[in-house]
Amino acid sequence: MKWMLFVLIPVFFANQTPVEKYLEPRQAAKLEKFISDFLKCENHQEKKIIIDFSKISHVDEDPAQEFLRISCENKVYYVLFNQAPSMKNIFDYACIIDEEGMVRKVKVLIYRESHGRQIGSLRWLNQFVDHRISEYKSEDVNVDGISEATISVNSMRDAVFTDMKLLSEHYAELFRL
Amino acid sequence: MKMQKKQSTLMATLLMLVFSITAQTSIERNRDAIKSMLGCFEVSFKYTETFAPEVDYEQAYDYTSEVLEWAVAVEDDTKKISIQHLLVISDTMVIKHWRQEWTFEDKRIFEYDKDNKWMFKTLDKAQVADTWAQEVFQVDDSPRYSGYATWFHADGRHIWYSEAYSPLPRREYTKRSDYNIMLRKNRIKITNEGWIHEQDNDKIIRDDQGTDRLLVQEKGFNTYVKVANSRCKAAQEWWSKHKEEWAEVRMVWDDYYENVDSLELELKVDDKRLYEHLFFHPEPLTATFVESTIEKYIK
Repeated sequence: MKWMLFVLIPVFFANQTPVEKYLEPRQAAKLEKFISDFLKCENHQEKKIIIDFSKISHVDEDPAQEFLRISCENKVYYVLFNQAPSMKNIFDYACIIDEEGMVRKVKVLIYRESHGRQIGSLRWLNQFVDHRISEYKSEDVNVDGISEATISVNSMRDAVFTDMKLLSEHYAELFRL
Repeated sequence: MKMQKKQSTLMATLLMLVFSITAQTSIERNRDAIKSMLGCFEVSFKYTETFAPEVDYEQAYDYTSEVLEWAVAVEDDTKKISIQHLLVISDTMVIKHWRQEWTFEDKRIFEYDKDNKWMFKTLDKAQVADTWAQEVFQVDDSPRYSGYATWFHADGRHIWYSEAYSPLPRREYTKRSDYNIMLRKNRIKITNEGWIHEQDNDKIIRDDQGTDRLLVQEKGFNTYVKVANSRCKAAQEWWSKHKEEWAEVRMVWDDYYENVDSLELELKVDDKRLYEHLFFHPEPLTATFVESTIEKYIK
């Protein structure tokens, strides 16, 4: 009977999409919407890529993390889902990077504090966009002008900077850098 | 003793007379406010999304538009005024727009549920005392939303406020699928220049169990500035030619409104919305055609 478990468990996980397997339903739904809204592609293909997340862990306890390869109409994008600390909690964010290594979209998906929701402001988040991951500098993102979210915006800037640095240093072969 | 009784009777009669005059004056003031919305208007529409509970919600683009509109009374009784709005696109093009019907102490109203379904309910006399119900109808005279409230007249201001669930606004119903009903908080204010329909709207996702979840809030202003009636001449002429046809349409709908507990409508029949059948029918609308066409949309 025990042998059946060895067979059934991998089959069970193999049949689930990567997003559903590792993220809570709400996180998975938010991430899926983030991808769909950007791509506007009817049937995009998702494939999970294994990367060493220990190098880009911004929170201590078992963060939710995903790195996906998305293909749509002959174009390929990479989607990073990660978590970073806010003042008393953690927040979830995601980045879309194209094959050229250009950051195309960054979004805060779930924010768990009662203050500092301005971190979700598109105007602020657009500062992360249109930078190549290998040329990313944390000074590219100005955190002034966002009030009552100082810890979170600094945390996000530092987290995204670290994410991009890791990807450009250790996974450059994925991108045409 | 007899004298005292006579005095009491006289006092009671006087009081009733004063009350009656006051009530009548109040109705007249309300009617004046409502009839301020008749005439030719330059209308501007401005909407912007404001607050969303979810941090990842991306505000839709602001909406602005300007039109010329003719508002004509199709019914004007002491306790009921029905106003048809017509868009003046050009000297030769007029489009029948929305209609609003005002009824004093109306006990029967409809409320939007979701998925093109409206529920009708009867209110108590006490609930509607001294109120006016505003029922708003779509371009094809099918229901849209309704609310009831008291008109306030003070300090030269004339204001009416009510809340009502409605389908998506026409500016969004072909563009948005991320919410399915709107909770409209309508504030109508009569101004020196015309009137303003100020809105604080909640865009809501209602599930099959009837639970509502707020997607985003919205602020809107429909500002009506009165201009010379002559600018709406095309609409006056168009309505003069077509008003009897649309009276038939209203009659057919009234029959449903007066007799059903709920009304659920098809979105399309023969791949067309109802207004397309009625607007683009090559012949003048007849009662038979209108009845049979509307019937196809009733689920």
